[in-house]
Amino acid sequence: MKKILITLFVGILITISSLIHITYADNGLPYKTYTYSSSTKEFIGTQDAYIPLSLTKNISDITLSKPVDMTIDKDDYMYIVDETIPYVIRYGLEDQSLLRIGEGLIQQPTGVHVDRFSNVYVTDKQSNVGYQFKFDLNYDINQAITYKRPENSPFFIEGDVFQPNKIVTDNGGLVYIVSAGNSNGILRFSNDGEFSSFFGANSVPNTFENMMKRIFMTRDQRINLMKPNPVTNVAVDESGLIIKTTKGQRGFVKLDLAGNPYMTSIWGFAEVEDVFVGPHKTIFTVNGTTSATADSQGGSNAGIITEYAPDGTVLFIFGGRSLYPVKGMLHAPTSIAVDSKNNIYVLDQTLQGLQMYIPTEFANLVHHAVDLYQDGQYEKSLPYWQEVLKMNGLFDLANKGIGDAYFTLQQYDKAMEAYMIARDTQMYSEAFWEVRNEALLSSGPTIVIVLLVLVVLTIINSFVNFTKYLVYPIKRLHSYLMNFKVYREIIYGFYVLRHPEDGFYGIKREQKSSNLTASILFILFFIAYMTWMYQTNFLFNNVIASEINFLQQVIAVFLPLALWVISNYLVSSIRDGEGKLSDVYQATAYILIPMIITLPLLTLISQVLTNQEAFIYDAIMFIGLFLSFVYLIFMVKEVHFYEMRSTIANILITIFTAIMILLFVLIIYLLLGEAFGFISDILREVNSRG
Amino acid sequence: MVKYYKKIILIALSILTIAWLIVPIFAAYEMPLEAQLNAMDDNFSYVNDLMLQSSRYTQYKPLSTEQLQTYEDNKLNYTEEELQLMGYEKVVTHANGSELWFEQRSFSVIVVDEHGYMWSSRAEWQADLNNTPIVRRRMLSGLTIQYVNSASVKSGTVTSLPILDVTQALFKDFSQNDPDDAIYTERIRPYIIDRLQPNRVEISKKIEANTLITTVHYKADIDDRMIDIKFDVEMSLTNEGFNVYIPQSSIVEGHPTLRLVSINLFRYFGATLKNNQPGYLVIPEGVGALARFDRLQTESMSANYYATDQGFTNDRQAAHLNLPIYGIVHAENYHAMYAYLKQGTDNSTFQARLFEANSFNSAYNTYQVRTIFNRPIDRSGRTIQAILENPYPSNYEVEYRFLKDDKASYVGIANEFKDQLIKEGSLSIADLTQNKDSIPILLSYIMADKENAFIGTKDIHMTRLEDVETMYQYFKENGINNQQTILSGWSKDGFVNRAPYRVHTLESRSKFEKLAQLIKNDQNHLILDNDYVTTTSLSSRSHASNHTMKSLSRIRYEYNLDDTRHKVFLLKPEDSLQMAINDHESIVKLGVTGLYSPSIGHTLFSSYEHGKLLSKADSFEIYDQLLSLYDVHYLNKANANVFKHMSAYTHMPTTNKQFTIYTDLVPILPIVLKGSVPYYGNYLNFNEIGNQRLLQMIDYGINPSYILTMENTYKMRFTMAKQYFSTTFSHYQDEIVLDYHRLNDVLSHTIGARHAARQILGQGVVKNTYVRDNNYIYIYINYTNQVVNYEGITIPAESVEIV
Repeated sequence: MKKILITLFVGILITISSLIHITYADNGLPYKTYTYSSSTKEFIGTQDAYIPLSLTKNISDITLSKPVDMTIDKDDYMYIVDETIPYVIRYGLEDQSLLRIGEGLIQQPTGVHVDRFSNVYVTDKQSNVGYQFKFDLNYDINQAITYKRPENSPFFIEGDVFQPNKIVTDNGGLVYIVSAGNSNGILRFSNDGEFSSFFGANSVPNTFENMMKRIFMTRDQRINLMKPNPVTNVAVDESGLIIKTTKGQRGFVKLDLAGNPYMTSIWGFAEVEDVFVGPHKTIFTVNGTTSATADSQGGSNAGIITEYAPDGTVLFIFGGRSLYPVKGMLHAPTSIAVDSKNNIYVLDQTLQGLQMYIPTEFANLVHHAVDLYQDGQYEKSLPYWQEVLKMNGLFDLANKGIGDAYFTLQQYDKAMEAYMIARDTQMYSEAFWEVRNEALLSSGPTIVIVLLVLVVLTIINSFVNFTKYLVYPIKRLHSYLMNFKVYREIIYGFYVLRHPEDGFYGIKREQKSSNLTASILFILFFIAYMTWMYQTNFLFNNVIASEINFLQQVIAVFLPLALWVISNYLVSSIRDGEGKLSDVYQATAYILIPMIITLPLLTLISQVLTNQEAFIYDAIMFIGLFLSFVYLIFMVKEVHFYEMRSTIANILITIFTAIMILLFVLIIYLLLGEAFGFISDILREVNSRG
Repeated sequence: MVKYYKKIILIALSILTIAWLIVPIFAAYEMPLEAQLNAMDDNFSYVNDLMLQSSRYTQYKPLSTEQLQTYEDNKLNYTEEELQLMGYEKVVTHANGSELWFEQRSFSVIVVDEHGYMWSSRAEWQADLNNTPIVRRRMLSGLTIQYVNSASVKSGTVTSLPILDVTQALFKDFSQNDPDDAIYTERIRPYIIDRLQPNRVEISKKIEANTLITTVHYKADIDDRMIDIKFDVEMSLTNEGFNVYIPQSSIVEGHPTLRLVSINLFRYFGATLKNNQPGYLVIPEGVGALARFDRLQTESMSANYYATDQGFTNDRQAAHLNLPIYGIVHAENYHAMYAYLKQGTDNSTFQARLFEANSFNSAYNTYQVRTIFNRPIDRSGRTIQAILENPYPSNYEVEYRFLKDDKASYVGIANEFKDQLIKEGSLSIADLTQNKDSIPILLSYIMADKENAFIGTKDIHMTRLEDVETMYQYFKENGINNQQTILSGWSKDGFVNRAPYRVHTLESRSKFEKLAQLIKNDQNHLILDNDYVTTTSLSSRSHASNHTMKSLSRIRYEYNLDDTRHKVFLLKPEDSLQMAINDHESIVKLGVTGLYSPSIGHTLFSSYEHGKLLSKADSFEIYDQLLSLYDVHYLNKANANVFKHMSAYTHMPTTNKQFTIYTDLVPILPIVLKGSVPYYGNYLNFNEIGNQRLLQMIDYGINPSYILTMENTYKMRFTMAKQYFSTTFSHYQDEIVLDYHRLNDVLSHTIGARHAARQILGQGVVKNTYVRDNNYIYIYINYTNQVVNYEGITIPAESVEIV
């Protein structure tokens, strides 16, 4: 909120690019491995987590042609469905056994899932149904239940699409079927095949375009034209919660029992093809194909595998698409699954095969630490995180894990240090609270003594008034400085604070200020602003100092101010305002005085506050901004000698004019750019063809 | 009886008490961290097997009796009469007994090498196949050209003309059982050309000084439209083998718009049919690769020599060969050949394919006379395709060299080429470590890098010179005497992505001199890191508009850094040289031994300067001068063309690009360098596969290398040096000492020795043989997680034994 307010105040939004470029690694793998740092909002290179092992085109004697889905059960049996193979292939990773499931019944399978009782679920595109297969007492597998298009349901109407594509079950045995192209959500069935409701539907994003559509479209138009993206794929985690992915939406969303978002990934790609929960509860996604153009230029993010910690933070990003036939790179991945040893398997439709990746020592170490961490065994996880940190000093989760471990061990100083590196404001605040509390308790006697001394001194002062000797030099200095016009004009700012109407009247009518003083005030504001940006405790400031661009900040501060001054002068010139350009310039500087005082104050108090006292910080910030806004109104009113109604109108028109000026400059810039580009294109083409 | 019961109860109680005391102790016991970490690595046994059977290891494929019999059965052994019936004539005979047979119509050759083994430029064994005449024409053509109309250049309009295709050769029909045909044995019948269009291609030949000089004149295409492309091909037998040469100056293009794009000469030379020969292709890509002829493979691979020419393409994924050779082994330890590209590395591409539709395993070069490249014509990225007006200024010369017996393997090929490089003066016989009794270690230190600040940037100091001294002494005290030191981030210009750095040192010259003296006193090197080839928009020394090269598209070559906010450029070679010359005196004054260059060893490009082409050869000439400035030069991933300037090879790859056709990983490059120049692996800080990497380093003879900082890596998290995400000295000081001694205990025995043989005793078990002064050293490496016993030697799991 603080950031939003201040950003509005300065009028500029700063965006950070977050593209990822996959390139060849030094160690011979065809890709580099990254992790995503939530603290620096950047991709950080890291040790390779997985090594591509093999590309298999045949499962036993079965040749893959158009593999579409895969899963691996707790006993390390792999289940693969291929649209051209009319059964489910079950392959034992350890015993290399092969079983064909649903032969003679399944026609064109698209999705497969195994529940915790080893029942197999399959979606069939051709028959437009889902099947459940159960092992009987003789270990023969038989078809048990069919999941058909819902009928006579108030939730599933005539025009709704039912093309079963993917299927999962939760721990309660409920069956979730993703129907291709259905925007109403995932179809939830009881285990015995009865449709109950839609589940976990996406919502229409709140874009400006959609907001306009909501305003201007009729209800029917909205129903027909404003459909959310259909869910693409689903998985189930160890506690039975459903995880969904949607093409066009980044990462994954974990749903609660009611189908509402419960947790989302911190970061992700927008073309996730499949999602799977591994043995360490980590979540794996594989990115599908993007645009043909991006693909042809080798710039697509297709084939990139992302592994998330159970809380949605990114552990590893690796893989990708290659223009060359190299092992480990994917072309059109369709499904991902992970076995009990954390080996990753990815089906690829273009390669018509199964690519396998095995974890490195580094990945195993991270997984072990994540396991302990997720189980709340922070103390035990400490040496593992320390080992991870040794291997990658910039691994966010390791710092957070170490912070948690130290917090548990009540070593709050160390915890603070680790949390600060991980930029975990919540836990940093808690550790800081403990440290501060301890400091306060241990310095209690000192505080009491200081207070007593102050009381005694106050009593003595009432008799002998010794403070006058203390403030005497200050008064002398003040008297001396009052000989200087600039000092008098700056001091006048405090009068403006107390008597804004008279103050601005004085600026306009009595030359109580000058352009020089106003310029000094502007510079003071900029210094206060930059100090606030750089020095505010990171609990209240998510800006990374090294990312601050000085020039950008100069523009961010002075451009809106300049636009305001010019626009206000221009607007008031044609709206009977009395203020001259210098009046507007000078008076504008004085409205910044509340912020000149507030920002350093905020910077100071941020050093001793925790999140629990954040309201103090927010309140001071609000007061500063509010006063500046109030003084803005007084300024316009007094400088231009307006009534309140005209003042408000003037402010609004000024803002509008400023935006128009900005747009005008932008358009001129773009047009000049186009003209220059056009000429350069002509020259380039003549040069090329000549 | 009661007495016994009491005793029993007493004993039972005692046991229970002891159990009650002991069980919690056991329960509370935890494996040490190291043991727990090792336990985590356990994977399925089939995964471990798959790993060892993958192309990340050398395969255990001993030749079976059946394979050898098939090999013997399929050796080429045409009689002279058969050769003559096929149209061959013996054109050159060498004193060493080798013979060159030439068949003019198909421009084919058969070489009988000095060992009497026959090599053909054709896809042989046609009698075993049922190919159509059209396919046969292509397979029997020893020469194919590609040309394009320069008025409308498009990749899709390039016309390919195999010589027998353009002459529409018709093969003799043997179906009539004509009694006169009895002279033709079954195996030569598919090659007998009955008639062809003689006017489309004219080939003239003459023999001068034991050299067959041919002039090939493609007059017309298959529709009798004029082509008028002419060039010479010279063939000779030398002491080394069979030499083929195309002088670029002989290329004449008479047609006003048709332009020669490329020439394929003898693309099936040494090719084998399916799995008839139990051999493999030898490909010096990365550390080295083999592609065995034991499976059908639909993919192929191609690569440039030395470097992808960024003057023509932005492709940074393409592979390149680091040595100008490739090999074909027909049967290991029987017969093999390797092709040494003596001229034309600038513009030749290597291609390899295993048997698929056409049933042959082959490797060959394409002489790229011109390259088709994309030229952007507007800001939206629209391009047109273009080619150079004149042929690329480079000749083509390849020498096929033939090996037999124990030399007929990848080890033999690597050692033969090593001798060639020694002969040429590119490699020395002995490396600098020969006068030491321990292997060298390369320690790079990051002194500082830049972080954005309120105004401009600020230096983040990671290691002071006195810290380097402290670390140097620490390692020395721990028995590491052979330390080579590289200083990075020594300039006020910063470090990562900020090269080339000016000689504005962060610390005083006297401090550099002091450190240099300390290190030199131990006969070690202190090397300064500077990159005069690659630069970025972050550099305060180079300016995109003045110093960076333009590609043949006439626009600046650039691509985005990972942060997407800055651009990477290549410096104009003449500017690279000028900057290096300007710095030389100041760098020498610092007292350092030499220079470490991260890019120059593997970067070579054409460019467009002042309206004309600056070829790769021109660039190299300039780089050659640059490299000559320093006596000691550490080069990163260097190619063979700069070996003569190389004092040490850094960042030796331990794998390759893992093309799908690869079946084995082999140390071709290490074998070439072994005993001549020290070579160091990638920084072991970033070793994610633990012990397997160390075993691989022992297997390949790679020396260790680390990058360190005295300060915690975390301190440089906002600098570009964050890409080195784990560098803290205190984290690595023990590990370095431990790993160094582990490697040194084995590799110190091989200092200055030649890697003479490498046998695979079983899956994942390697025996390396080194020779020095006629003394043999045997090192057994066991990559498996089982104890193994070979040749009476027991090798523990994931361990080594030296004999």
